[in-house]
Formats: sequence, C-alpha cells, structure tokens
Amino acid sequence: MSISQIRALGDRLRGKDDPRPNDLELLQRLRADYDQSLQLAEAVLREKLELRATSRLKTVQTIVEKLKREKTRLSEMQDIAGLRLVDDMTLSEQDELASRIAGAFDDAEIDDRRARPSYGYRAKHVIVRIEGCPVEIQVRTRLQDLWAQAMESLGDAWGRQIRYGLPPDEDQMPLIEDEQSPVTRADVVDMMAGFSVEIARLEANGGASEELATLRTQLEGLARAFRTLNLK
Amino acid sequence: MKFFLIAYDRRQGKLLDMKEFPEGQRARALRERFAREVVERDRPDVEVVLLGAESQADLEKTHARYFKTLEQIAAST
Repeated sequence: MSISQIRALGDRLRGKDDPRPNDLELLQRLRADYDQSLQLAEAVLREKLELRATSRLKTVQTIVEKLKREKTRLSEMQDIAGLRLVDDMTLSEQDELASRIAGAFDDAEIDDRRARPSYGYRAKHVIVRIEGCPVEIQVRTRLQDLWAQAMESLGDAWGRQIRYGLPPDEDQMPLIEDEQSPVTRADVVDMMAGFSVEIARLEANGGASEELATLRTQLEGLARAFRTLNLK
Repeated sequence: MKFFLIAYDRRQGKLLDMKEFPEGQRARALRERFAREVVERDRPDVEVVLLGAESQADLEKTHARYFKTLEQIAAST
C-alpha cells in the first residue's frame, strides 16, 4: 500500500466508530505487510543476538483508539508490529541490551521510555525499520513489566483510558462498600502511579534487597486487595 | 516460532480460548486471526490477538495478563 493510501485509511478509521468492511480489509492487508517485517526483525534477534522475543500485531480496536486519541497518522504509527523481551536485569544491562539490539539493524533508533515515562509506563524501546515498516522492540526489566501488566489488567477492568492519564470508569466507586475510609478506583490508579515512581527509584539504586522487600510487601498488599475484590 | 491465537474477554479478565499453530503456519494463523476479528466485531470487550513465541512459557512471561489474575501478577515479584 502507498503512503497516501495508508494515510487516507487512517483518516477514515479515525472518523468512524465502526470501520467499514472495506477499510477493515485494507487494515488487514496493511497488518499483513507489517507482519513480514515483524518476522524479519524476530529472525535478526534470534539469529544475530540469540534472543527469544515474543511478537504481536496490534488489534483493530487499539489502532483505532490510538488514531482517535493521538494526532499520529496511521502511516507513522510505530507500534503496529511489536516484539517484547522481559528479563531480570539492571538498568545498565537494559541500556546495553537496547544498544546491542539497535546495533543489529541497519535502521534503528532507541526510544527511552525511562527518561520519558508515559503515565507511569517505563521501558526501553528500539524502533527498527524493515522494508519500510517500523517494528517496536520493547525491552523491559521484570519490575517494569510487572507494572505494565498490572496496569493493563486494571485498564481491562476499569477502562483502558487509565493508561493515558484519564480517570477510570466510575472513578469514585469505593472498592469495599462498607469500609469507613473507602479506597476508590481513582485511589488505586494513583497508587499505581506511586508504584511506578518507587520502582524507578529502586531500580536506579540498584535494587537493594531491603528496598525490594518493602516494594514486594506493598505489591502483596495490592494483590490481597485484588483478591478481596475478586478482580482479575 | 509457534503462534497462539487468543480470544480474551477484557472486562471479565477471562481467556476464552487459545489455539496453537506450529512453526511454518504463520500465514494460516494470521488468516484465522483476521477471520476471528470479523466474527467478534460486535463484542468490543473481546480482544483477538495472535502472539508469536518459542513456547507458551515464554508467552506467559511477556504477556502475563492473558494467563494470570491481577493478584498473581502483583504477587509474582
């Protein structure tokens, strides 16, 4: 597909709640093109760097949501195709891994989402361009990934907008009805923002064991609250 | 690399089904994913996703939310 066709498709998708069947078909063709690049990027990681990444292509819904939320054009969207690596590593090891990955591709740039966190989301991304299509390679430490997965799960239950700084659905709903000082959904989202800062601080300090134990205790408290709520 | 076609109910936090495709069936997996997306069009809470991984264990590590409860994710530090 040409750039102008992709842009026009993006403009149509942005303007509709329910994409037309023809546009869905075009989006499938586009994602199939991205899948070719995804396959090549995965092979480079495996064969040149002996890394086992997992892959995914963005869904129709998340593409349309992003077009509506941001001014990004469909032709410029960098994360339609993505690979993810999660490992136990220090921040300097994460930096080193991101640089090694960037060095393995002819056209690559590092997007430092630790330096520029997005509503608490922190990671290192390497954007590589293969046959005209960008592929986003996410490099996350275990704690960064834990935070991102927990936030995604909360977003599934309370509205995906929380991942972009907006309040959850029914944000003042107390989690436990008869408690004297009720904790609301909005409070939990704020707590998650606090955890992100705490994880960043802990990782920057090299993850001293007693600090890690404190964070673990806090996360277990959050986990117990989720169990009480029977919240997936 | 194997492929895993997943249908996941976001609101219920429930993995509805998962179909595994062996290495070499990437194109077929992608076709089935696109077809399933059409089937699920009227169910916005259902996410249809195709994930590639060497093993399901790798997938459970990098995409835990499809497989674990929030409690399990939060407790997995």
